[in-house]
Amino acid sequence: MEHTNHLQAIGDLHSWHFERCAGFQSIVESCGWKGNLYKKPQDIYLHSGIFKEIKLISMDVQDDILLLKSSGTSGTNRSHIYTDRFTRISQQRALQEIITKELLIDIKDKPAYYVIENPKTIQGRGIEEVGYDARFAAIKGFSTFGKGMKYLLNENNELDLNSLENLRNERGNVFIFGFTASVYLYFIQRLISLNIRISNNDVILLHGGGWKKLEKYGISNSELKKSAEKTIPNINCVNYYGMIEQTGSIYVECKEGFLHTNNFGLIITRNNNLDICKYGEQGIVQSLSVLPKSYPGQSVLTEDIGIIYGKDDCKCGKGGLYFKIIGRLPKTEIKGCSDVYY
Amino acid sequence: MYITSKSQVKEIIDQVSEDYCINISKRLESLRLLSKSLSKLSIKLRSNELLALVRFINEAIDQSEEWFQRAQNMVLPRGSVIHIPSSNITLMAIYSWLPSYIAGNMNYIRLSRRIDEEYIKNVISEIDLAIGVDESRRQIFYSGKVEDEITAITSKVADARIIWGDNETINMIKSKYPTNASIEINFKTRYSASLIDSRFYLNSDEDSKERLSRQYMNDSLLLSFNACSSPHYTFWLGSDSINIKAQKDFICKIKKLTSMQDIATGAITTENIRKLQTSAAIDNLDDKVLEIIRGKGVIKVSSKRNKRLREDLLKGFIYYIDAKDLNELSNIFPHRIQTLTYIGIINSKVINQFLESLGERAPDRFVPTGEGLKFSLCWDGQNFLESLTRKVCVT
Ligand SMILES: [Zn+2]
Repeated sequence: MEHTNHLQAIGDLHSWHFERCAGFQSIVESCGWKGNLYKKPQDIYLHSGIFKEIKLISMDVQDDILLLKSSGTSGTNRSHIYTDRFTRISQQRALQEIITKELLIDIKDKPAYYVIENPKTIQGRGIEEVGYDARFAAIKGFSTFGKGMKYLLNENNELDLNSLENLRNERGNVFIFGFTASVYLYFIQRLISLNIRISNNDVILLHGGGWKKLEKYGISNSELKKSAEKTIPNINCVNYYGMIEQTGSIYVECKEGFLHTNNFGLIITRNNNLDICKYGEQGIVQSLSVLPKSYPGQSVLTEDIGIIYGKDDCKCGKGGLYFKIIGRLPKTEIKGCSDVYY
Repeated sequence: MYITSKSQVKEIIDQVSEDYCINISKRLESLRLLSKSLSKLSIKLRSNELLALVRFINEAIDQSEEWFQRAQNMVLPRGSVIHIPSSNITLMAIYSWLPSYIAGNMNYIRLSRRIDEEYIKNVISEIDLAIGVDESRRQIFYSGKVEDEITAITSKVADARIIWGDNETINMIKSKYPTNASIEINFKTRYSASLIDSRFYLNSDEDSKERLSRQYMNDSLLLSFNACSSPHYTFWLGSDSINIKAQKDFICKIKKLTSMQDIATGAITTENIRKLQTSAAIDNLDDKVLEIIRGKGVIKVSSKRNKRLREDLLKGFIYYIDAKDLNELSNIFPHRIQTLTYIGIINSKVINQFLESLGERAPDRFVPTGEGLKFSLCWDGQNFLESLTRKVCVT
């Protein structure tokens, strides 16, 4: 591990949260990790599920706190992320730096913004009593890189043909955002079946979020890309990896199909005993972000499986670690010996 | 016989008589055949799991032979038995089936869809070969899409039902699949513990220490410390300084054994760490984790604090408990311990005294470390053969 800057920043964040967040402090102390705060900051992490179980917050003043909730249907199983203005601003700035650099979007000459989303799923999911919805937050967060916001789906999750017509008539650049499953199922596939081609000159399609839904259709990232290119020849179809606990510091896919770490985020993979994997080995993904200050989301152990292939030597020429997310850990529900019933 | 369609099970219920059954010596004879063929299969598939099953079958043959000889009255099967085994141990279905087959019953065994189908089919076809065509039509393994319907049908007709599950699972099955079975056996979640004589361990040579830690891990690794047979508590007998020394050495050896690439068990590891961290944040533990093994925190608790150990905290942790001697241990020894494994020469008189002092807290089994997973006809204090047969009483 070399990433000295990242780790130093993470070490600082660890002790910041250790002093301010009782939950984080108990976890670090109980896990016997107090000595690692600065010495081995990479070896301190919170399981992502913790944010579903307890309120973790590192702020005293609560007036500018916003609650961000992961998208989900049931009330109990949603992550609760508390952001203050400072954290939100730095997250938005980081996102801006990553997006403008990786997608070459010119913030002074913004492209038209289209979302592959059903307006109904968004309605009533804005700032409300229960908190800010992550799906909404992502759509909103990416909206700063485009002008206007048009939904490409109607309330029945069908293609909104008017909106599509608008898109086809755009003269300038177009920036489309959607969640991976929706992009494939409701957009690309429909375009193919309706035999519609979009021949705009410059279309960026950014998509992210669970692959789980697509797994049962046997669709990989490269297949999605291929079918997108079939129907939108001038498309730049880019996948990103990010999580609600680390809004802002997302990892964007390069031309070679690898995700890269950047100034804000770092990835570690761990084996089944939580020891750090070598490059090329499959492991449980841990993600570090230098951004979260109002909640201890700086080091999260996810349930994703990934492979880090190397550092600074990706064929695309970009630096950082380059990696792929290859799936999710199988669902477990371990209660004891004689109990798992499926 | 492995079936996947509803019509097959209906046909079997209609046509196969549950009363028919070959005699006990023939049943045991067919199990001897099965043991041989599975032993071959275990070598072919390099399966330790199968090897353990073979050992269990052999043990079962011996124990049952003895039991039937001792049973003075006429012993008859119950009739038909439905088994709903847990799905986290691949061969659980076979373990549940075997004693009931020995008892002479017709059996329906639900197989979880999570279990590798090809693998279990292999084992079932060996069973079919060993027990013969007629008998195999009375030993029905089922899974797949029809599993739900078949469980419903067979629950209605069965004379006995065996469920391996926690309260939630058991209640769910009870309400979803009503039964007229006169006997219901439910195996609830239990915990196990290990007892280590620290001085004995420290005085062992390096090879023995490694063997002992490997045996301990054999008891634990199935489900990464979550199986009922894996030691959730480890009791260390000796003075404080001796115990600390022994634990240090032991943990070091165990850590070497646990690290490997196996993403499927990674899911259990992350689930373990999630539970550990949740408990840490919610319960504000006084205890600090010594080490994290497979996501489980090893926590040291002194027996001197004289507090009963909290069962609900077992989820994220493995407890190391120091005790000066068995007397001291007896004070805090927890309830619901299924298997207590041991390391060290502990003389039988002392053992008996200790078990007696535990009273109703005495564990079901007291076996050497490494044998925690060894199945026995007696499980959870229940003798399968007793429960799955009926005796004719003549007065
Ligand atoms: Zn690259």
